[in-house]
Amino acid sequence: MNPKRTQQSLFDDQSCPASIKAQAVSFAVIFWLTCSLMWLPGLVSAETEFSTTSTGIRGEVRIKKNLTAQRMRFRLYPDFKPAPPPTAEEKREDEWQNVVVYLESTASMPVMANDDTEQLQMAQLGETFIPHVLPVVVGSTIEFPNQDPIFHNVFSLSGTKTFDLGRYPKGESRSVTFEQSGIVPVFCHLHSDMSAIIVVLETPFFTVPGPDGQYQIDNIPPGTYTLVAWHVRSERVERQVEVIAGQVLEFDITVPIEDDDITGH
Amino acid sequence: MTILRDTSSQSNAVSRCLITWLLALLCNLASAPTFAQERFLIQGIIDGELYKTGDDSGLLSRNGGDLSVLGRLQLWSAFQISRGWQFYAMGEFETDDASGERETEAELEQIAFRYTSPSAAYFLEAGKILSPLNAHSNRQLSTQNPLIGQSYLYSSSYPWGFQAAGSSGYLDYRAALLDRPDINPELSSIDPDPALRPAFGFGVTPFTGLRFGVSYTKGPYLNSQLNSTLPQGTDWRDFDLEIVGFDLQFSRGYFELNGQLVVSKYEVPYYESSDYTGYYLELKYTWTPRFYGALRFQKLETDYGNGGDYLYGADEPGRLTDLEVGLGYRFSPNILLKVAYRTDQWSVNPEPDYPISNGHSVALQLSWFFDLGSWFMEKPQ
Repeated sequence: MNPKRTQQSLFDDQSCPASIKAQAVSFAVIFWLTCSLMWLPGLVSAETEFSTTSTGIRGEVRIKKNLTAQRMRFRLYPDFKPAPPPTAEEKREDEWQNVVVYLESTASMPVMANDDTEQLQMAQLGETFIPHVLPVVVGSTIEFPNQDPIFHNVFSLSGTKTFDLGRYPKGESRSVTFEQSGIVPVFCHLHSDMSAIIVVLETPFFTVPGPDGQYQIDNIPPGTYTLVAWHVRSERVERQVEVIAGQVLEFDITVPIEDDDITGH
Repeated sequence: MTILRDTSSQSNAVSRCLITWLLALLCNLASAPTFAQERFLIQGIIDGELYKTGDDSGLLSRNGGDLSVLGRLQLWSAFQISRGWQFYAMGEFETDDASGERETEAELEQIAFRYTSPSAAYFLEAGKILSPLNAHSNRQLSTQNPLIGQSYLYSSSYPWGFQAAGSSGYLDYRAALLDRPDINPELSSIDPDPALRPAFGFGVTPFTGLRFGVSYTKGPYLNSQLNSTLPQGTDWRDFDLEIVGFDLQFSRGYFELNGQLVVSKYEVPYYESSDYTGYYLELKYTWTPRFYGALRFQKLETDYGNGGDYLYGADEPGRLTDLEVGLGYRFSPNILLKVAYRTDQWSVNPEPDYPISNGHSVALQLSWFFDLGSWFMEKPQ
C-alpha cells in the first residue's frame, strides 16, 4: 500500500466532517513537534535507517537458452582417478548463480570490504569450483579450500590479480585478497576443465539472483545509478536507474540484452 | 616425438578420416551452436619451435645442426553421445625441415569410445587408445610438458584395444588388451605387427601428492615379414617383449617430481634375450605464477647380449645419459613460452668401430592451447 496515496484518499473522503479533520491535523502537528524536540538525535539516525532499509531495487533475471549450455567435460588423458562424469543436462536454474547484478555510480559510493563475519570462499569440490561466479567488493579476502581427495592448483594470470596457490591437500585452504576491481578468471593447473570467475566490484551494492531468478539489492542511498547485469557469456546489460528514498524499484532483466529486455518502473 | 610407422596408404586413409571428422565437427559447431556447445568439444594446441642442435648426435641432431623451425598442430575433439558416453579423436599435423627439406606429417593418434561410470569410479575405453604403461603421457602435450624435449620412456604408443580403468580408495588400476607393444620407434628398427597382448597398471596413493605405480605387459613384437629369417619351426609370435615399469609422482606446493623406471626384455631369434633399462627423474618448481624452472635427467642402458644388432643395428652394450633443463613463462593460462637446453652423452663398451658423438640442442617453444567451444560461448570482457 502506498502511504502517501492512502493519506490523500482519506482527506478526499467527503463524508468526513471538517471539524474532525481540523482536530486530527492539529493533533498530528503537535505530536510531531513534541517527538521532534524530545528525540531529535535519535530521530535523525532513525530517519537515515528508514531510508536505507526501504530503498532498493528488485526484479527478475531471465536467461536466454543460449547461455545455459553446459560445457562438456572431457579429458584426453584421464587422471588415475576418473573425473566426475560429464553431463549434457541443462541446468537452467544453476545459470542464475552465474549472473551478477550490481549498481555503478559516477558519484563516490561507500566501498567496504565484505563483513568480517562473512567467510568468502571458492571451494574445489568434485573437480569443480563452487561457486562458479563469486562477486566480491574490493579489499575482500577469499578462501580457496580444497574439499577433494586430490590435489588442485588454483591460479589466475588476470591483470586484476595474479596468483598461484600451489598444491595442497583436502582440508587445507589458501587465501587471496583482491585489492583491485575487475574480472579474475580462475583455473586449475591440473584440471584444465575447471574454471571460475571472481568479479571484484567497487560497489557494495550487488547480488546474485536466487534459484528462481529473483534478485534484490537493499540499503541503496538515493541517487542515479547504472544497473548492470553481468554474465560471462554475455555483453553487459545495463540501464540507468533513479533510486528514490523509501521506494523499491522493480526491474526485470533479460540476459543477453535485446530491445525492451529491461522492463521496470 | 612419436612417429607411428604406418604405411603410406594407411597414413593417407587416417589423414582423410581425421580431416573429415574435424570438418564435420566444425560444420556442426557453426550450424547449431547451442547443441554443439553441449555435445561437442574441439580443443587443440599449436606449437612453434625454433631449435639449434649439434650436427652429429644420433638422437638430438636435426637439420644438420642448422637453425631450424617446426610447426605442430594437435587437435582433438569429443562428442558426447549420452550421459557418460563419449566418442573422441585426436590427431597431429607437423611440419618441419629437420631432414633438410620440408616435411609435413599427419597422423591419427587416438580415436575411441569412452564410458565413464556415474560415480566416476571407473571408465571403459575401446579404440585406438593410450597404453596403460604410459603413466605420464599427458606430457606429450606441450602445455603439460615442463620441457620441450620428451623422455624416451614416455614416448606414447596408441595401440588399438580395450581398456578398463578406475580407482577405489588408495588404489587405482588399468587393465587392457592391446594389439601392439610399447616400443619407442626412435630407438627401435622393428615395426611390429598386430597381436593381442595384455597390459596392466596399478597404483597406490598413500596420501595426496604421492603415488607409486607399477605396470606390466608381455607379447609379440616382431612382424610376419621376418618369418622367413626366423629359426625353423618358429613364428614371429613366439618371440615376446616383456616390459615392467615403475613410476613415481610426488608434488606439494610449488614442487613437482615425476619419475619412471622401465625394464624391457626382448626374446631375440637365435639369441637368448636382450635387455633394455631406462629411467628418468623430472623436477619442476614454480617460482611465480608465470615463471617456472624444470629439469629432466634420464639414463638408458642396453645390455644387448648378442641380439642388439637384430634389434637396434648395434651390438655394443651402451649407456645414454640425457639431461634437459629449461625455463617456462606463462603469458596467459593458454600461452606458454619455454626455452630449454638438452645434452646427451654416450658411453659404449667396448669402443665401437664407428664414431659415437655426444650431442646438444637449444630450443625455444611457444605453445597455444585453444578451445573452439569457448570462442562460440564466451564474449570478451
